[in-house]
Amino acid sequence: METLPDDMVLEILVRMPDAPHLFRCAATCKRWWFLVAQPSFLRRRWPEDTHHPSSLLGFFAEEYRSAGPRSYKTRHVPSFIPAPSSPFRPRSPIASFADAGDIRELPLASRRGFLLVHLVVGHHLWDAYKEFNLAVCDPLTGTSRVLPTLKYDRLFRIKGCAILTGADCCSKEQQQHPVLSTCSAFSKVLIIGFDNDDQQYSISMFSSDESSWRAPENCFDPSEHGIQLAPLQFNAVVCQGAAHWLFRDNSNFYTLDASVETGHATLTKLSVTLGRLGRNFRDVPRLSLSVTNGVLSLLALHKKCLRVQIWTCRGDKKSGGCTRDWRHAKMIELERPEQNHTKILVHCMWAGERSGVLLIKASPYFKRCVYVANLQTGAVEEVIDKFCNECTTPIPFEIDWPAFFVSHLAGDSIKQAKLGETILSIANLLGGQ
Amino acid sequence: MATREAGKKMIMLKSPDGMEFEVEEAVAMESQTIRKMIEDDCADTAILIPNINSKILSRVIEYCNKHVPTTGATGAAASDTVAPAALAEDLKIWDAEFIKVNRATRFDLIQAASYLNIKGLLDLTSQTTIDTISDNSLEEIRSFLSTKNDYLPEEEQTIRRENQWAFQ
Repeated sequence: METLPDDMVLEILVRMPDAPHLFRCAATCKRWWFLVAQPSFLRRRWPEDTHHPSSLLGFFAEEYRSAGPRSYKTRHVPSFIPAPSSPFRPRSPIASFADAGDIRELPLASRRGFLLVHLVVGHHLWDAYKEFNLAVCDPLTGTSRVLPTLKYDRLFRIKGCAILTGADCCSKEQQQHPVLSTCSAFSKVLIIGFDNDDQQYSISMFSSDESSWRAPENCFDPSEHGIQLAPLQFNAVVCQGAAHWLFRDNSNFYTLDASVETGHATLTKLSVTLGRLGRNFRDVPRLSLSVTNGVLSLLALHKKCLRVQIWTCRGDKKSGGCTRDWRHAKMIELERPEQNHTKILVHCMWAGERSGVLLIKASPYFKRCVYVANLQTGAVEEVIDKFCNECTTPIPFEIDWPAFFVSHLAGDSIKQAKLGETILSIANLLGGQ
Repeated sequence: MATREAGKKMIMLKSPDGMEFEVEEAVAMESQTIRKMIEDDCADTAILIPNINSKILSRVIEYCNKHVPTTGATGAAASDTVAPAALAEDLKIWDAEFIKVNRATRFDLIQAASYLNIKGLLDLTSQTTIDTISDNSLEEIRSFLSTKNDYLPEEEQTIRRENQWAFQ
């Protein structure tokens, strides 16, 4: 192969069946290492305009574990559960959360390889808080960053969030010549807070280059709409410079659209209504992204997990990709695993932005289980793990493989502080309050 | 040099070691590189194929000859005689037989397929190489490709330790 020119080696490497194979090839010699590390090659292997089911590595969920060998107390520990084809094994090496004393780390949401964690002092969860201690973790490198405390003047709940990276926030010109390392860096967090007394939603923004949160801004005036809106989606879908969350009232759907630059948010009513989705599809709709043209789409899963309806936004890209007009794009039939053909009653669903995969949690009344549905093939696989039965809210964990390779192949960047040390320092910080 | 034979336009391909191959234009146009030359009217006399010796070129032509009817002929003609699925199956067996060559020849074929831009052949040759190496250990991959391990032992250890996910 030494006689083969670089171009031909790349022809072979680009056909490697999966990420572990490609990584092993990179480890054979330094010449291949540098060839694989080229961002242009990695983008060719994992094109941006295609869903890559392998982007879904698995999900995070809370596990109850004994606090120690001589203790009968249990602790809530975030656990990593791999997706069926994931190269990563349970809790190794991803979730290296250390023993953090009396702090409960509650995974809230994940996007592009980052995990947002709510650090709760003591193990009891309250309904609402005045202060939120949040951390953005990179479970793959084992690093994390504790954000400044998010403070409200009264009790709030978090109803939604968006984790933004450099790629979401860079300008149009930068998007044409992306630098993978900066694109994949954590950039901003948006939090949707809800004040129970006023029924008021507000949005708070933190930028990684600032030292505190910007003051919360009210999202929309509830009196103007006169109806009670229920949030349907905790984790935002981000496209074309805006983060989107899905809401509903008794008959309509709405998107809350926040500019990633300013954090300013507006509410838009969709032309898709609950009636148009049909009785069997209205329970767990989710926003997602259509990869082919990068516009917002709405996925509605049949309540017995038989098929998925996909609607796409017909909005003009320039206007932020969100107008009232939505169109029914297609219906995908799902092939459920043979042995479970009797009863899957869908309880919750999460749609993967990168992977195009649905994570489905079945209702505990029939069979407590988590399923992974591939929208390209329609195949539904069961995730077999002993914690699946217990986990309440699985948080899907997706990565962008090119960004992952760049960060893992870039020289000595691997040697960073381990998450364990960071969590301990958080413990000290909070303990000292 | 281009001649007509039973209504088919012929093209002359020349290898650098002086051999000449007369092939149907449709067969030669399996190569996107040659197709472009023909379309740009640079091909009225013999086309010299640099860097590809006669042994490899004859194998490439053999491949193109076999593959031209399925892509070149009309769909109607194919479905009249043999079912498309059976035809594809037949071609697969032929491909598997075709690629049973030694390593050096296979690498030459990869280079030829890449230069002549023949997607099917490039897929076949690269994929076969991948199938050979993909389930092997690092040492086996290195010995097959005769690449030298230029990592220091501690470097390789670090890579393996920090990336256990890829080495399970």
